[in-house]
Parts: sequence; C-alpha cells; structure tokens
Amino acid sequence: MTCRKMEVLIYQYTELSPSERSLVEGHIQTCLSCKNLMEQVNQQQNLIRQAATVPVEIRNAAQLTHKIMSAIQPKPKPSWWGLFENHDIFVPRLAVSVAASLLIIFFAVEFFQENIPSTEYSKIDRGTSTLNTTQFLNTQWKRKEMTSMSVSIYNCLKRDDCAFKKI
Amino acid sequence: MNRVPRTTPEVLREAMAGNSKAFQMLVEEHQAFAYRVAYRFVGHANEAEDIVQEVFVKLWQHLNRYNHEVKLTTWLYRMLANRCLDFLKSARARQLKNQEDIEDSYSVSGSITTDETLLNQELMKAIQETAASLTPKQRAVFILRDLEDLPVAEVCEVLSMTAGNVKSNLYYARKELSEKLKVYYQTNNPISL
Ligand SMILES: [Zn+2]
Repeated sequence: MTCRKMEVLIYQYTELSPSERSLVEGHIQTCLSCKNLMEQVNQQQNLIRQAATVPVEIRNAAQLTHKIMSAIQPKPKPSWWGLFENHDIFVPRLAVSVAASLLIIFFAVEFFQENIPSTEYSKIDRGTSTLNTTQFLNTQWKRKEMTSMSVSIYNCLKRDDCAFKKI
Repeated sequence: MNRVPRTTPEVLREAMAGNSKAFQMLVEEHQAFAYRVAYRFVGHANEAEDIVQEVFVKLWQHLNRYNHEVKLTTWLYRMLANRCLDFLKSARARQLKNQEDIEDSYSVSGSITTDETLLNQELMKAIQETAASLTPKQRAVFILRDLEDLPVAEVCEVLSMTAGNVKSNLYYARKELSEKLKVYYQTNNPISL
C-alpha cells in the first residue's frame, strides 16, 4: 500500500477494523515518514480529547429554561374584545370601515329612492310601444309614495306594504 | 466532562403525555448538553441559545411521536445538528464569521484554575477557531466524533450518513485541523504539535 493511502488510514486509525489496524502497524515498521505521521496524529487526537473536557457553560441556565417554557405555553385564544385592547392599528381601522359602511348604506337608500321605486316598475315591458296604463299609474303612485317616505328606510320596513320588502 | 443526560422513563412518559412540569424537568436535565453541542457548532452564545430554545420547542411539539427505540439524546443530537447545519449555511452565520464572540462559553468557573485547565481552555478556543474553516459536514462529523466522543454508528444515525462517508469526512477534518493548529501554535503558543 502506498504512503498516500496509508495517510488516510492513519488519520482514521481509531475507526479502523482490527485487520486495517494491523495493515498500518505493518507499514510503519518499515516507513519512517508514516511512523512520524502516526505519532503526530496520536498526539493531536490526545490534545483534542483533553480540550474537549473544558466545560461549556450557559450564561444563565434558569433564564434559558424560562424562555423555553414560555415558548411552549399555549397562547390564549384572542377574544373579540381582546382585539380592542392591545392593537394600536385595529381600532382606527375599525372606525374607518364602520364609517365607510354607514356612508354606503346611506347612499344606497338615496339611490333606491330615486331610481327603483317598486317591483312593478321592472315588470313594465319596455319593448312594447303601447304602455299599460294601469301599470304605469300604479308605478307612478308607488314612486310618489316612496319619495314621500322619510329618509329612514326602517320606517318603511316596519309596514307590510313597504316596497323595499319586495325589491 | 461530556456528560450525556439520562431522563427517567416516568418523566419522559409524563412529558410525552403533555405534562409541561415533566417537560421542564427534561429541559433542565438536557439544556446544558444541548447548549454545549450547539455552541461547539456555531461558536456564538446568543445563536447557540436561540438554537437550543428552538430545538426544545420542536421537541415538545413532536414528543408524542417519540420512538423509544432511539435514545432521546440521539434524537436531540439529530435535531441540534440539523438546526446548526441550517444555521451554518445562513447569511447570519456568514455575517458572524468575522465577529469575535464577546463572551465565550469555555468556562473555568467552579473548577480549580490550574495552568493545565487554562491551556486546555486556550486549546479549545483554537480548535473552535480552526474548525470554523471546515465544511459544515466535516465540522459536524468532527464535533460529534472527536469532541462529543460518539461512536461512529451513532454519528451515522445522527447525520444520516454512511460509515464510509463519516470516516472520509473525519479524515479531511483531522488533516485540515492538524495543519491549521500547527500554524496556530507556531504563531500563538509554546505548545508544539
Ligand atoms: Zn509510508
């Protein structure tokens, strides 16, 4: 076996099988450079083993345990009111979205009052040139009724004949 | 000195059932060992502590799947090695490579400070410094086999490597360390290799 191949085995001496070890032993009987390398590697391994005995210490063991134990505790489920407590961003966002929703509802009411007076209106066959008079008058009457209705949609919804209920 | 802890089967069973008090006992028993392994890999106290914390949180989450045929410490070695190898590949590790760790964890507190212990401490720091130039795989094999003194079969299990692969990485690691340490001691220390 060449000295180059022997070098690998010398560095791996502690991991070798008995037969591989005797191969190395045989070689170093006759090869001085491999014998020197063997001694050097042995010395290095001894030093490493000795150095490995130096204790490695945690700076604050109790604190580390505490950090680990806090990290594994299940977090409490967020309650609805909890959302208001600790969130700086959530409350202004909620306020803006509530205001926006109210505005949309207000304009929607206005729009329906102006443009869609009743379900009958949609039933008018816009394709025919002759207008069904009764239907037309009914529609006009309902339209009048709705425009006179107060801005509050809720008053209308309280009544059984509220046109909004049919939309 | 490389104490590998043992947990009683009762504590382990309780922890596996979700008992956090039992798990705390397990943490207290194993954290020094886990920190030693992580510190040997990463060489920085803060990073080593973060890794230990992450590994224990992961252990808690997966403890119900623990297989009794594998030693708990082998399982921990495996989780620690995987997490440390990920860290060594990260940008954070590259960033820290040129920074000196302000507080090193090789301590002599609680033991009698002799010339020998001081020399060993210096030697360990030199080994840690030179090991930083090894590839992550070579470093892992060197730490587990030469510093932690694990049998080759366990190193194979921890790193999912074949024995041949472990041995060839050991060869390169030891050869590289031998050359680097020689240079280190020629310039820094009276000890000759
Ligand atoms: Zn030779």
